[in-house]
Amino acid sequence: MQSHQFTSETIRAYLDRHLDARTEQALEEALILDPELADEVQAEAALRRGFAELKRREREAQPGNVRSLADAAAKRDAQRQAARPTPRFVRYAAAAALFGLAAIPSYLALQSQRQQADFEARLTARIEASGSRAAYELPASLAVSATNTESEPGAPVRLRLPQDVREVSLELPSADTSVPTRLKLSPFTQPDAQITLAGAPLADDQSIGFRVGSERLLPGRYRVTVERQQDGSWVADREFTLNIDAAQR
Amino acid sequence: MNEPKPTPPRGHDPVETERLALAIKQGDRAAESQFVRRFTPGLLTVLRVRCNDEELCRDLAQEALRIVLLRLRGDGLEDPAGLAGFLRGTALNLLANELRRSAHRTTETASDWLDQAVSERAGPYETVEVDDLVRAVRELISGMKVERDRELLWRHYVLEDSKERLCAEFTLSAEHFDRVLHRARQRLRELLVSRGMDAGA
Repeated sequence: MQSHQFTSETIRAYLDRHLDARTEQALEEALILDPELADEVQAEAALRRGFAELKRREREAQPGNVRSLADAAAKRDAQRQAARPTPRFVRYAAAAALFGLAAIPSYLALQSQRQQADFEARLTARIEASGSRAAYELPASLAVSATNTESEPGAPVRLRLPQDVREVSLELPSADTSVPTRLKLSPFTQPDAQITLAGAPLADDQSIGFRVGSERLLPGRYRVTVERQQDGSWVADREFTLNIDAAQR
Repeated sequence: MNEPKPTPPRGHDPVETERLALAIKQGDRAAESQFVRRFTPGLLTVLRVRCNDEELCRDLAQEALRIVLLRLRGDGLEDPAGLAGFLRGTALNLLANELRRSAHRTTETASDWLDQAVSERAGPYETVEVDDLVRAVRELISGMKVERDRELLWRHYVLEDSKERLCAEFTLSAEHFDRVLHRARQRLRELLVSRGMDAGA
């Protein structure tokens, strides 16, 4: 049990030098008096350094040579979604996931969102029984937060529409499916031709789906923004870039 | 981030601090050693957050402790409860002066025992080699029995997902999230200390 009352969040903010002067002084005087708190702060700093170095090394490693936590997450997801007809791809992908594989290449999995510029997530459709609807599962981690100003909107996500598909469903994991959510697709070449899709909770109550007729998704590059309602207004939550290829034969 | 000024840490006993200060004033050498052992880790932490030079941090911590010890031996503090603030202020002033001068402070030979005491209390984190640290982190992750906890750590430290997002996604309370991180830090410390002990065997 901790002998102090500082949260992990506060300790993290302290190490980032984001605390206001008063709180920082209070925390520092507390850790001078309390070696246990000082040790906790040092351990947090060490954890950050260790993970940062681990990430750097694994990014440089050969693909597939490194055991990835994402693989473990993939197994967990596969077990949870055993009822689905097709394997569910890893939700945990940090950058580009080769959709359709049971586990993503670890060097891609371990990319942070800020490293995504060079990679692209290729999504494969889960073709519904009728064959006319294709559902694409969008990992939440692929879409960067709209408040993250350090990177341009998200990792590119690429999908190719199967032939004969009439309806496309884009599915995004959501912690609260009751919150009204919408998805806006703006073609880069024609921002005025924006498509807005209302979200609807899916049967598993863990994801929100956005349906659109395939004829509206012309091949091209789109800026996608997911918005949710907050206090009566729409607030940008996540965003990414979507590349749509021509329908495959 | 703004938080109300917190109450003193639960592990801190103001009476004990006052007793220590009084004992030092009375010339109690054992109390001086206790003083150094007790306050070195915190002082080093305060300095390390601001300065990447470990050797400089240790020198400054030692110098701050020396200055405060001299004060306690002599006039003492008007308010012993302000000891932590005095230590912090002294250390930060020394650091500011050092950064302005950009000269490395040398310690007096009479402070050898102080030098050794500070080094002994420096902790395992700053002296561990990067390779050992990475190995310890890997071992920490692989040793975690709950897969969700492994994922939490990874996403928090590597993917930099916020605590709020992770709590929402995993349906965790903030306290539970903090406990997972707290256990991870404790375990990392155990791993690093054990490596240090092995290296010295």
